[in-house]
Amino acid sequence: MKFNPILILMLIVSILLSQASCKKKTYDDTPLASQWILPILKGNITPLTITTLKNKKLNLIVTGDDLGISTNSPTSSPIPLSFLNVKSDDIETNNLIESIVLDTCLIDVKITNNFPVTILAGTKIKFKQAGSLMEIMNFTLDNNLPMGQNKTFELDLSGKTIGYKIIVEIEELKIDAYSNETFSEDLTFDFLFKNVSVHELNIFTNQEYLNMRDTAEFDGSAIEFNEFDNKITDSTVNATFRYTSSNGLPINSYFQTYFLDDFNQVIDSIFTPNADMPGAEYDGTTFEKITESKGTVFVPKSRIEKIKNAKKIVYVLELNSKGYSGAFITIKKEQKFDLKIVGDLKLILNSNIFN
Amino acid sequence: MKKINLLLLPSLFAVSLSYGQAHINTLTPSPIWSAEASFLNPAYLKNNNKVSINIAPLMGVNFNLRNNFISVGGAIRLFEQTDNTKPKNFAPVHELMDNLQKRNTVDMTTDLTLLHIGFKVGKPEKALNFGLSVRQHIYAKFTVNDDFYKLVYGGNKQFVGQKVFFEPNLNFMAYTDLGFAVSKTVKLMQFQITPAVRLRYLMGEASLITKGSNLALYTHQDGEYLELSGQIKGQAGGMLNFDNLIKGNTDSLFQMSEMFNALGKGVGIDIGANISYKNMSFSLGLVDNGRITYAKKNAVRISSTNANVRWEGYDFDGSEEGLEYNGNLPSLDSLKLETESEAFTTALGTKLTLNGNYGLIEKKDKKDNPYYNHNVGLSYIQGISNQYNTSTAPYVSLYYLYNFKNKFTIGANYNHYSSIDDLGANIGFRFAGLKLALGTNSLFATFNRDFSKQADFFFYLGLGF
Repeated sequence: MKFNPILILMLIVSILLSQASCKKKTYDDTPLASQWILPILKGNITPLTITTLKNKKLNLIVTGDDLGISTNSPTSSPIPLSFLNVKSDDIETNNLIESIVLDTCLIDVKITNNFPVTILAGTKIKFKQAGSLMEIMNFTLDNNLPMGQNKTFELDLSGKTIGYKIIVEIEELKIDAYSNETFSEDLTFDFLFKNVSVHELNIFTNQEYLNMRDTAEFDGSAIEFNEFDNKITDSTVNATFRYTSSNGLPINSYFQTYFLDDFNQVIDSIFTPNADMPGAEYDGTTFEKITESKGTVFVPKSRIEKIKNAKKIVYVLELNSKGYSGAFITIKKEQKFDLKIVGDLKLILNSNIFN
Repeated sequence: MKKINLLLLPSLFAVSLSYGQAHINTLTPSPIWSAEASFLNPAYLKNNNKVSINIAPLMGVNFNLRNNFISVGGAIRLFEQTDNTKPKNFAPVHELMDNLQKRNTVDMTTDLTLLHIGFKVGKPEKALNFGLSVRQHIYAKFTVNDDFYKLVYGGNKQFVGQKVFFEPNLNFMAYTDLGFAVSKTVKLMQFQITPAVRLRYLMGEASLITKGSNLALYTHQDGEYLELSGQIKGQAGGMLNFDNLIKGNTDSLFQMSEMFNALGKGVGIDIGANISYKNMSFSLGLVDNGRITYAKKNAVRISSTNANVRWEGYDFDGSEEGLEYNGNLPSLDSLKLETESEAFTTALGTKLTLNGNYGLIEKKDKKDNPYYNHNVGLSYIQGISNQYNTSTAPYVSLYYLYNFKNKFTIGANYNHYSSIDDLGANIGFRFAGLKLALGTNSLFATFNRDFSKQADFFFYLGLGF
């Protein structure tokens, strides 16, 4: 028999290739569940949080009309003028607050003189308690502020005690003589609270609540899983949210997250009904014990499908002091309320990791 | 999570290395591609014609793209999932997860012979064989461990209370070399011994290594925090502005005016020998001995300066005006990659090349050159490191080659590398001075994609007189 190497070569290759074809292992199309445990939210509520003084702002505007000077036609004054009790406005905390003892508190003040006249030294600003009108502090301008210029300085409220509302008043405004000027623009006073720390806080009991909320855009359609695939069930797609809190404040609170549709209608919420976290235990007005709370919420596939239609998300944190005895109760600066939310998410990732 | 996904891209697209400077099939003694074989062992110059020439596009090409964890068919099916018009299928994902290795590597090798002039000086029996060459090489390799893929697909819950390590390693090299080779055959009793050497001047266009990098993600037992820790370390140099690359300024990656000055410079040496006894021959080469150095102004040391990044969830801060949220999920950006100018010297990666050939039925062609009708043998390449196109895992090819009148050859082989087993085939012919050869070591990719983890071919087109 004649030796034909090419034939033999082709035969060997064919046998090996056919062997290889037989060895293919088949894999099924079962969706691959991906389980993620992620910290979602953490934070704490402190006496400072309750005061809502952090970064508090006030913008007080004095116009020519406030001084009885025309704002649309030229006027003159051959002598300097002084105006008393020109204008006032309030810096409010909230209805829970009876009083706040401040450890530190600085207020950035910026006076912008857009009047066509110099503001004279001796102009006075006064801070007063609402109700009693007792003076907290005052400030007197020690230099003239020429037209078109501004002046910035700090006021220090550290160590002061304030109530739920502060009245800021331009007690006296002095302006220089002027001739044939139109007061078409304003004199503005901007106040910004900074470096605020609270030594002690008295809150009313059984008073109204403090409701903090935030609305953000939310694209529910970004939650990707093939909900029409009948192989994907609650056992493969779901979410569990766990919250734990440690509440050292005499403040009851609840947290909720709402999902809203295009028409701002609530589609669903994460917690059912709310994540309730009762306040610390008090014996009368004396602190006794921190209250620990925890809860778990299971969100099945059907609810995730609903959330896919959400366009907005609203977070709500409500605080109240209901159920505590006495007219008001004292919170020390060390007391706080800690909250953590962890998500345990079971998802079907897209079958292509390159998307 | 998107960032993590993006990390996978280079793992399948990385341009990687080859196993040497040329295709392993070229070690099979053949008159067609002996010029190309001389880049794996310069002693093969002896098999050249009196004059042989390659000038692009009459050139040699060696290309290999391979991985050690997913078949070509599986990779294609995985990519098909990007087509959102088609039904989703998780079978390719299961295949990927089922075949993960401890270290999962994708590498690519491209070698181009842009110019090669081979010639002989002296009488045929005592001739000195010379080779002058200009070649371009591009190698890349990306490696990541199995836990990385398990994390991306399976989530972090399986790793609560422990650190999951990523151990990423990326390296890349592109360089041009100018080579000068010489060999001479001497007779000693019945042995023909051919020692050879090639000296190379190396010009590095770009190199990058991330040696010693390690990243780990720790998930607290109850999920209260995640911590990304570890360090990214590396060195890079060349025409690319790596500082801009790391900072994401992709608009100014190349410094055109400084391109030539930015080249890394170095020398290399390939040595080899061939011993023939009757119908047997044995070749041994030690190639890619050399280093490229990038000057300080064109090279950087890369390091992450932030060793720990902890994520405890969004910080909320309440006020009457609402709840504010601060924080960002830990990402690679948060590791704060920094670069510092530092000269960078990198080795090509020495490789050992071996070939043993047994010939049957000796014949002579028209010019009285001896050849064997049937050739069987073994070729072997192994590196001393795992960088660029070098691998400590041996690459083995068991072959048969049929030679018809020294003008036509056809061969097949079984080849093995790491977890890859494949079949190869090659064909070559010479006609009126023109030499053409084609070969592949990834026949399974053609006939059965599910049994191959590589795309591999070599091509040779040249003149020989």
